[in-house]
Amino acid sequence: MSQDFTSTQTTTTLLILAEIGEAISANLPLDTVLGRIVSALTRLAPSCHAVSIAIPDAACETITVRAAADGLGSPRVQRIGWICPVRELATVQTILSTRSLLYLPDTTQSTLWRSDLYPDNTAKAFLGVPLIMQEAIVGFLFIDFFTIDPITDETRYAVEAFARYAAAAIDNAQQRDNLRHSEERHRLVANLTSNAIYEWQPGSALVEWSNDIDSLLGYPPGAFPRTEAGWLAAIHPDDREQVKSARQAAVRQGTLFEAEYRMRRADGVYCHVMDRAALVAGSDHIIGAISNLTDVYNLADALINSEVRYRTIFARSLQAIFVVDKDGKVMDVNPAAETLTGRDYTQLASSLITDLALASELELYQDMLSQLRTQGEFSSREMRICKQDGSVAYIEMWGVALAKDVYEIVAHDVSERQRAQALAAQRTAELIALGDLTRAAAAGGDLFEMLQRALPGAMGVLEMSRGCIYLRENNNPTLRLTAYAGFGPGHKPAETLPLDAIHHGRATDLSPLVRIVEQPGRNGPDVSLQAPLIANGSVMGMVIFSGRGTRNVPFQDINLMDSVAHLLEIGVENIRLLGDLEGLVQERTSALMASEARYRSLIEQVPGIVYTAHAIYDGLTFISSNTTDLCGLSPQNLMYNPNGLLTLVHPEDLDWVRDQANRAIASGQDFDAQYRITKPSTGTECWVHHRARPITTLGDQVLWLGLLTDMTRLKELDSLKNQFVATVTHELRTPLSVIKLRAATLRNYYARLSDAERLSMVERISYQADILGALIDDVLRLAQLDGHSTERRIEAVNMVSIGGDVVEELRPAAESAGLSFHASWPDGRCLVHADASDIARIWRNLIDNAIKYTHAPGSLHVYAGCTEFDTNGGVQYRPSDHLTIPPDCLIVPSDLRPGRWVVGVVQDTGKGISEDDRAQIFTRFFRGEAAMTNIPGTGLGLSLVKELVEDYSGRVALRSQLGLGSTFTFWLPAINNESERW
Amino acid sequence: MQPYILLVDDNDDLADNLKLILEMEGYKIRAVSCSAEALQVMHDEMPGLILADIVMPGTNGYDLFRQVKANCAWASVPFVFLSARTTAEDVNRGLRLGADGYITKPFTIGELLSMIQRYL
Repeated sequence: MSQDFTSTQTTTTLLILAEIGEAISANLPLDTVLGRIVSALTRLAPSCHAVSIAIPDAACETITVRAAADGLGSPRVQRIGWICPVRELATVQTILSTRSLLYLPDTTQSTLWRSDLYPDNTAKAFLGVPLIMQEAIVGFLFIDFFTIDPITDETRYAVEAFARYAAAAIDNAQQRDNLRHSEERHRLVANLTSNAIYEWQPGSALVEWSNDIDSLLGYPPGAFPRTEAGWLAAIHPDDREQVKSARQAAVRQGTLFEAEYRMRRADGVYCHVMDRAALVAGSDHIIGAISNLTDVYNLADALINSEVRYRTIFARSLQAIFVVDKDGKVMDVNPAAETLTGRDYTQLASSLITDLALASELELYQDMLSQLRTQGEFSSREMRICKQDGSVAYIEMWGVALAKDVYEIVAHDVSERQRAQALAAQRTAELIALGDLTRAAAAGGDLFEMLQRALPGAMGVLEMSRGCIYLRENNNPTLRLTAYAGFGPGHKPAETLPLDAIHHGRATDLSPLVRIVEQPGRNGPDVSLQAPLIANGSVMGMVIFSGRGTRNVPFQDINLMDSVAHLLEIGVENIRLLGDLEGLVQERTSALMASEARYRSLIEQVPGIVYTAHAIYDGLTFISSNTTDLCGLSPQNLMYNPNGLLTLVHPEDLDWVRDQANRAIASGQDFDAQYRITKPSTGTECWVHHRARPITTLGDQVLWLGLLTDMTRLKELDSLKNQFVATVTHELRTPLSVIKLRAATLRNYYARLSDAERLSMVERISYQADILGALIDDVLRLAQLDGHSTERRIEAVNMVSIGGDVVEELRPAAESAGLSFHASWPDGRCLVHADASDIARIWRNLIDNAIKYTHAPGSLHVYAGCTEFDTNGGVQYRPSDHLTIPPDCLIVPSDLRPGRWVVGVVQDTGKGISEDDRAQIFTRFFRGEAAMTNIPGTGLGLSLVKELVEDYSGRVALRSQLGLGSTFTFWLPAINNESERW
Repeated sequence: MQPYILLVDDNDDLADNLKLILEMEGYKIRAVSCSAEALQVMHDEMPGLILADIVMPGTNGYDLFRQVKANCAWASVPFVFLSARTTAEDVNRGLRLGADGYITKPFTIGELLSMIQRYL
């Protein structure tokens, strides 16, 4: 709350000021006017705690509170009349010395504020305004606020305006008081001075004066000459002869002498006197009295002036003014009173003020008169007045004594205000009731409950005592009672009504639907209002309200009935729609939940990051939870970093990736790119496949649905494959080129070649063709393993004999390479279930590898045997094994199962395999350093060995030391029943 | 005296055959199976043309080329790659290095002879 007089209140302020101005000019009692001012001020300033107006005494030693109102505008009676010495009021002293407005924005911080003076005062801020009239401080306006807010200009202007009016009211009242006082003084003076008595015998030189003559003419007592000459000399020369002759005539005729003339006072100034004298019966003496008329003249002037002023106000006032005597008899009225009462002057002048009262308010009028008589004042009070035509006007009346037994009663016509207030109250009640009805109708829920809830509100709106609602079921021609209210216990409206009941009753001009039905009731006639409830152009029900007694149904009620029916229609329709909607919502929700669940599970299963965003790289709205593996950042991190994804892109790819994304966004086309990203945590690089597609969501908002998949492995495989293709091509081309060249030589130079040379050519062709064949075989074998389409002849085969064959096959190559080649075989057989060609290939690839990677003068050793492995004791040697494998050559794989195994070992003293390469040595296409050193090979040999061995549930193990050589061991499950025999 | 052709190839079979053909065509040829051997031979006598494989044990063909071209005495000797690496990338790489020719394996005798005739 602010203590502002808000701008919307400016108009209100002006209206109130106008009213107050009028009250002042109508000479309303001062306290009434000031009461109105303080009350209006509290209403204009919402944070007002209290407003009061105090008036200082003449010496300005005390102030007296003449009007006070609390924050709600009600008079604070206990405060009115409170007198406080100014010396105790620092605030008032300050205002007196500065003669300007004093504002204490925070009373607790002010040294001027003494709260102990106001035990009931909890003001937080204080505003004191001097009321100044003709440069004199005539009063003080105090406003207490209960909030500490800065005072605005608008507040100040309004307060100052009210202050001016208050000052004017006080001044006006004081002027009236002064006037009244001066009248009394003059009266008193006149009384005191009217009796300068003289006795004189005409012709005598001496005149006998009472002492009053001295004071009347301003002489010290006894100083005025007591002679006829002195008297005549004092008379104004213009009047002297006239006075003389008039008195002589009166003496002569013995009649009363009366004359007004001027006499010179001691100070030389002439004054008017009235001289009345008469001959004392039975003597020649006259006795007379002189009174000073100057003051009377002045008084008359003042009275005339005052009367003129009063008359002007009287005639021109918009308020009706009655001047009445103590019995309430009307002595005078102004034109406004004629208008108010509808009676003319003559009618009013002959009547009593109480004749205007309603019978019920006669006492009020009499009370008013008695207050006037006893207190001379009657405060404003609201009452009614009977007009000539029998109608009633609302008035506010106040009165004040004008003179003894003469009172002025002012009546202010407030009928308009009363009517507006009554209308406003009615409209407010209607609106509140309609609001209740609307809320009940809008609340939805159960249809019957809603209608039952809505009925009392609707009845309240229409001021009807009973209401019932019928609804139509399934287009039946019958209306069924759905809700009713206001029927006494045991009473109930008809359960059903025919549909055409909506046409019963009298149609109204105001609404095509509302009808009025009048029918005899138990306690006299009933009147009902009824209206159909319509939805989608067809009748869905009817609402009926009824009350007792015939009455002229006002047009507002017809309109209200229309509104009520409409509200009920909306309520019923709402509930029906809501019912449909709820069903729909339930259906949609379950569908949505199902789809959401599907979507979630789909996302969980997508191997990669799924996200939605406003742009391809910006404004993420959703991201799947598995981001850390791929890009090293948590979903939250990506979510709240603008361009989070883009910052990961490898610098070399950044430009084209961004360009492509911008193009996709501009064109609304799919985005598809494969690029490298760098994980911030480890700095490692990986390849991603990033696809994004614009999707339109509700409200035409475009979201991008993106998917990032890790293709590092794919890229590695791809690179390995490319390397493989190159290698295989190279390896295939080498024998092929020899074959072609040999063949071409034979063809082109056949005649020039010797027989031996020709034979050698053919042999070389055959040899190279074998190599080519083996190579192709390797590739095919691998391809078959991949596709698991190998057609094998599995049988019990002896690994020793197959190994022996391979050793002999490769011995020439080893020896030509300058290597010593040894094979140590056990005596017995080592049987395994396998295809013999697979076992041969395992041996061949291992031995061939050893030859290729060992330089002369190295050596090769090949071993085989059968042994038992258990978890406790490790490898068990049997005496009957005749095992030829040295223990240090027997490398046990970490995951070897306990059981019987056939073992093959190929050991060389070659260059060895580095630790890095060892990890990948069995990877397909991997050739380790061989790729650099150009040792021929496809990179398939060892991977083929491993895959074959593991295909037979065996294991391969390797030990190698760079520069010292390598030992390969392969383990194949032994055939048990055969094992006894070796 | 007719300059000889230096053939560097680890595939003895191919080298034997080429030696036979080129001698029948009247060229002098010396065949070695690795780069180190080739450099040794060149120290003894400058060849008129070098035919070298790329994929070889020890120093590969590219490195042999660089070493030959780095030696002022040998820089002018025509150098032709003879390789089973046949992709366009490989060929371009060889030619970009500054090789005078690149023959992909397998090749025809005509191809080889026309290349030799260009430089000898």
